[in-house]
Amino acid sequence: MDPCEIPNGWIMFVTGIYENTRFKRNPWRGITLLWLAGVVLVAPAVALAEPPAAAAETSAEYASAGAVSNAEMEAEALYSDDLFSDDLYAGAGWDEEISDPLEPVNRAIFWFNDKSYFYLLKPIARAFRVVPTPVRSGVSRMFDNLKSPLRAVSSLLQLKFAQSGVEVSRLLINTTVGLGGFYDPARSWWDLNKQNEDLGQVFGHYGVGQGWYLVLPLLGSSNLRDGIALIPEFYANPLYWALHRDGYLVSIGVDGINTLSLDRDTYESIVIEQLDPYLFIRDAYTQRRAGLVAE
Amino acid sequence: MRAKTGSLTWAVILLGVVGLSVPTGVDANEQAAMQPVDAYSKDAEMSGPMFEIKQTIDRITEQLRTIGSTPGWRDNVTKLVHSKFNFEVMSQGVLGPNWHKATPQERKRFIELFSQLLEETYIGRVREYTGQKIRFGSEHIRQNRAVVDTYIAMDSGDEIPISYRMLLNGDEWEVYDVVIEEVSLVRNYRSSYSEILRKKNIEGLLEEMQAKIEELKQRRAVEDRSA
Repeated sequence: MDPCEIPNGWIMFVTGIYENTRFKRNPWRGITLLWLAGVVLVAPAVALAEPPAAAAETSAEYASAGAVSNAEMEAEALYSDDLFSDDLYAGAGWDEEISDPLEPVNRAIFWFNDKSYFYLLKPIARAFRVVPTPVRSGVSRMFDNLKSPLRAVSSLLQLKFAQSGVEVSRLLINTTVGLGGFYDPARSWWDLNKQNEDLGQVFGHYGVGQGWYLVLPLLGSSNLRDGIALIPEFYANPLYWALHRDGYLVSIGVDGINTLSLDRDTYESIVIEQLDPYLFIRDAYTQRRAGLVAE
Repeated sequence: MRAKTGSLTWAVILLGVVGLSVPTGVDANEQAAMQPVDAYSKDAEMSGPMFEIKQTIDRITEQLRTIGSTPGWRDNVTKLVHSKFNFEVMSQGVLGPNWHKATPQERKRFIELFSQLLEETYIGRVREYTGQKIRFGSEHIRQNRAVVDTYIAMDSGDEIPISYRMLLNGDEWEVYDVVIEEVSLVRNYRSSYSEILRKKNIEGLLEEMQAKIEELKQRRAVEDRSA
């Protein structure tokens, strides 16, 4: 056997994928490359521009709440962990300022998203509600099932082997027994719960901070780290390979609206209840992402 | 050709075996580590943070089940929330470093407004409760502080984790923070309010809170009339 044969085959295989995805003539290629280039240029600037931790000194000042004596606090500090730290409210991420230098731009996109939500997306989602809820949840699970490979790989990249195994099993069980993911027998019969892992968390696991907070058009809250992770995630979905770009984009839209139709007006209540919904959502997103990386 | 299919089949089988064998081991470990404590079981103590928060939650859900038949349900829920939540400590947490800059009157007013604001939003949220199962997980106690993990089963089958952070005040455990899906309520408010306080003084924030409470009350009145 010619030793060159196999490498040749591989090269053809890879270039075959390249041809088939039409990445070459794809207008998105330019956009993606520009984004990547921008990120490469911007990332060091972010690293240098990290604000000094000025809040740290003030965090201990008001810790006297709840009559925790100093002696007690010191005793506790010896074996403090995430659940109980010396400050009543201290813990991972407390008083860490969210870096949001693009706030004016973000707020503009937030405004755009808000309008799109109320005047376009939500009305379509309401129309979706003609379909019975069990069907819509089933469809939602089918879309989610296709994200299993990504979750498995993300777990694996964090060396969480057991979790990765859970996701592989879930994919195998739910795709077959669960009729393409419409049902979730992996959970109901085998207690295999979905592992919330993605590439943003992989980066976080290896110490990459969240970076600037971003609001993406229609997609909503994100940050530099998770935003970059979205690019490979886009290609990691089997639907991309099955439907190609345009079909895939449509399927993302359907998935999004379907999910929205199952939601109980979460965004509405935030807008009604909060003094500044932008700030509230910004912090909630940042906290949640930090929590997911930490777990 | 045959060799190819063979190796592919093997790969699938191998993945399946690895995948199926690993999680069962983990499951057993997790179950042992996080043995759920049922506050009503015989060997569980009839006191402590989990017992106390469970009692309050049970009473609130009971009120919600009887909405309509009891006209005073809202007052009852408010009373129950007030008995278990320590709004003073929460307010300190929300204002954070700004707490020291506030005058005693401003602090008092903030506690008042913040508890009202939370009540309004909490009642709005609690209204959506339609009998979802609440599962009680583990309770961790360290000295005068405790964390109680609970899970609400949604209609979709997903469980939303809600943790109550509690503080021993006298002989009663009181909630000083609620953490929903990794998001701490107090930290969330602190982040928003400290940003607002960067542009406004505390008086401005208090005014904004007052206006928001009025708005929520009006909205509630309209909802009540239509209900």
